[in-house]
Formats: sequence, structure tokens, C-alpha cells
Amino acid sequence: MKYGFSFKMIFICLLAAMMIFTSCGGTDYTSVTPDSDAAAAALISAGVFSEELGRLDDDAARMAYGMPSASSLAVWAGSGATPEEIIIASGSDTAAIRAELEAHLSNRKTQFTDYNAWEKPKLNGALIFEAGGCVIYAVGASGSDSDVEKALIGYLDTLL
Amino acid sequence: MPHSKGRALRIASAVVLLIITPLLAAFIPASAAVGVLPVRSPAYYYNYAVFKPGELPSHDGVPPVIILPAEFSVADKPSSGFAGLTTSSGVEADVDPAVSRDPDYHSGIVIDAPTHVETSMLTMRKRIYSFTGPVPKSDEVDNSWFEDALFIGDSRTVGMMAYSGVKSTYYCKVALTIRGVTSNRFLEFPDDPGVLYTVLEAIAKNPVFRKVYINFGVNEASWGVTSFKNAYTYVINELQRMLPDAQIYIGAVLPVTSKVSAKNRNGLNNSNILRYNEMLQELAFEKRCFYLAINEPFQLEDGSLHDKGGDGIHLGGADVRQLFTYLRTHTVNPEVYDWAASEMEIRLWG
Repeated sequence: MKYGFSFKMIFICLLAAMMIFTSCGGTDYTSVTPDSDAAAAALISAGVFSEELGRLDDDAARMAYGMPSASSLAVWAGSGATPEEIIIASGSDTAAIRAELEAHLSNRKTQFTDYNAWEKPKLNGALIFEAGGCVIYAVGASGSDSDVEKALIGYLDTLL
Repeated sequence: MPHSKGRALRIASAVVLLIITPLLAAFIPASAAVGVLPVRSPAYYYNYAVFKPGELPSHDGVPPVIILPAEFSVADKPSSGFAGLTTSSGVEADVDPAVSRDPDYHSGIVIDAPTHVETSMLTMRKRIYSFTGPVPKSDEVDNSWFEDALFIGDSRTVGMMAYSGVKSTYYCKVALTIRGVTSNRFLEFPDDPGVLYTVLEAIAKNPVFRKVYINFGVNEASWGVTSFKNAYTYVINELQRMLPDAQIYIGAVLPVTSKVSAKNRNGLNNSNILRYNEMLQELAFEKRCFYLAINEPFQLEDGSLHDKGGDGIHLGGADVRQLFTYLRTHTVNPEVYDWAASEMEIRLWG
């Protein structure tokens, strides 16, 4: 009975680990160097956004998004009606960049509480994904990160 | 004898013609029939202007006005090509009312809207800007016009920043209001990381802009005209204080679709937007700002926004690019206008 339980636990843990690895494609993307424009183009062409996204001027993006930990920053945004966007930031301290993107996500959730609140669920599917020295933030239309992740991985796999 | 008399007359006529013709040619070169007009100015006698009939001129979309000296004779007027020619005695009435009211009008002959002037000797009179109306159409500028401009606004301006592809400065944020311009800290300078600024604080830190485009009105729909105007006025005052040489363009509130208008969420309907736009035009007049009727290209006959999908409030990419075409073709070139005379015009007729 005791053994049975332990085997069950080990099996469940292994299954969970497999699921985690499978969901990330089980692939290590730390060595790739994504190109911001190509990555964004891959996401956009995958049809995961409900509206057109346009790339912001770099200086304008800096003023609006800050992200001091990022040595380079590229942002694609939409009409202003939705939280759908792509942010691709790179720098030596990816943990700090990730923290800034988490803060950005939190701000967006606050913004879309009163403003166009019906858009807020999309933020539950925000993807923050690290590849090489890049951290990629993307919010698609579905409210699930799987579509966006799938499209992104499709692009990253081409770099391996 | 009569024969020799006639011969002498012919010789005399020939001599006179030989002498007179070059003089005439100098007086009225190339003849009036092709639109050549002698202009007698005290400093530059016999300079002349060449007008090409049928081609109406445009200088930044505004026809220039030429004042000829008072001593210019109406008899010198060519037979064609001067539809806008008039004189101090009112020989022709086809004259811009703004021009006819100007005291300078009485000092000479005014040619409104000539085609082409081939001399620098004429006085090119500047136009009077009418602050009572929206910015008139002008020649299209290129995107470098916006390099020293600042766009301030809410989510609609965010859309402009995203879709325009125009390099400029954008201090905008989703859900920002005109009051938020003074209180909402969301701007971060790269040389001052971690410190957030309001729009006004950011301008004070870096007051380099020559043009400001400001556009609000959706998130303030429930405020009422007076509150909206008070907040807007405060911001305009601050902008004029911090950027005294900048042109300030106040954008009309873009309409919403009839569906959104009918829902009337937080007072957001096209009737309120219309009232706001009337107020903004008054404010532009009071503050000598430039009111841009950016709503017009997107407005249906009933005053609502054309429905192209989306949320019925925000413009899509194609519309934003059309909006920028409107902005590029509705600029105010300060060189074209006589601002003192414009001010006089307001006092006399405003």
C-alpha cells in the first residue's frame, strides 16, 4: 500500500515533468539569438492577434515602456483598444528584464480593470519567454499563452 | 509734291517706329496678351511680373496675394489671366473678403491668387489666419515635419504611435485623461531610469518641441463640457508657458460608431463628442491654437465613425495612416501668415 502510493507519486511527478518539458518543446533555447523583427513577424503571421500590430519607434518605446535593464527594446502595439502587444527586450540581466516585464503585465492588468475591462482576460494568457539573451513578452487574442508560445517556438526552432 | 510729302511721312514714321518700338518693348515686354504685367515700383521701375493664365497658385495651399503699387494703371491690365485682379477703386469685386478689409488693400492693387511671379520686386503679402475655423488644407509636408513634434493623448494616440510609422515623440497612454497629463506618472527617460514623469514634467525636463498635437475626449466623455474645458485650458496654458514658440494643434475628438454611441457607456456618445468639439474650437480660438478637424475624414453624415470592425472607438492601421495624411496636409506654415494682421482681424471681426 505504502509502495503503491510512492510509485503513484513518482509516476505523477514524472508525468508532470514530462508535461512541463513537452510544453516547452523540451528544447533548450538559451543558445539561440532571436531577431526581433523576425520573431514578431512569426507571431503576427501566425494570426494570434485580433488586430494589426505596428512597431513603435525605438525612442518612443523607451519613453513609454522604460525597461532600463534592457539594452535593446522593440515593441509592437495595436490600436490602443486591446492589451495585445509584443515586447522583445534583450540584455545581460535577463532576470531583471523578466521582472520588468512582469511589472508591465501587472500594470496592464490594472489599466484594463476599468478601461475596456472585457479585454482583461487576454492578459491571463500573457507569455513571457526567455531565449538566449532575449525575453519575449506577448499577449495574443485568445487569453491563452499556448497559441502564442506555439508560434514563437515555431520560429525559435528555425534558429537551432 | 504730294508724292514726296507722303514719302517723307513714311520715312518719318519708320524712324519713329524704329525709336519707339524698343522703348515700347522695354515698357511692356512680351505684351500683355501672354500675361506679362509691368509693375512700376518706386525702387524698381519697370520690373514686371509674369503670370501664367489658368494656373492657380498655391503656397502651402494658400494662394499668395500680390500688392502692386498704387500708381499702377488699370489700363495696363492684360486681357486675360487675372481673374483675381482688383484695384483700390474696386474695378473688380473678385477679391478675398479678408484682403479687402485690410487697410493695406487701399494702398495699391491687390492681385489675389496669381499663378506665377517672376520677380522678387513685388510685395508678397502674407495671409490672415482665421482662428475661428479649423486649420485649412495646405500643401503636403513630409514626415520630417513631425520630428520636432510631440503627440499627447490617450489610447487613440497610442494607436497613432503604433501604426503611423512616423518618427516623433509620443507621450500617450491607454486610458490617459487630460487631467492625467498633470498627475499620471508613466514616462521614463533612458538617462533617468526608474524615475517616472507626468507628461507636463517630461516636457519641463526636455522642452524642445516646436509643435504639440494634443488629442483627448473619449475617457472624459462623462465629465461635461465645463470640466473638460477647464482641464484642457490648464494644460494648454502650461504648454504655452513651457513651449512659448511651439505651435499647438488641438485635435477634434474623433467620433464613435453609431453602435457605441447608442450604448452611451460613460457618456460616450456622438452628441457629447460634438459638444466637446465645439468647445475645443472655441478654446483654440481663445488660446490662439490650431484646431484640427481630424474627425471629418472619418465621420459619416450622421456624425458617427464609419464602422470598420474593431471596437468602434479606435482607429485601425489604415485609418491611422489616413489620419497622418490629413495631418501632413493640414499644417500651418508660420511664414505664410501675417500674425499681427490676423490678431487685428480677430479684434475687428472675431
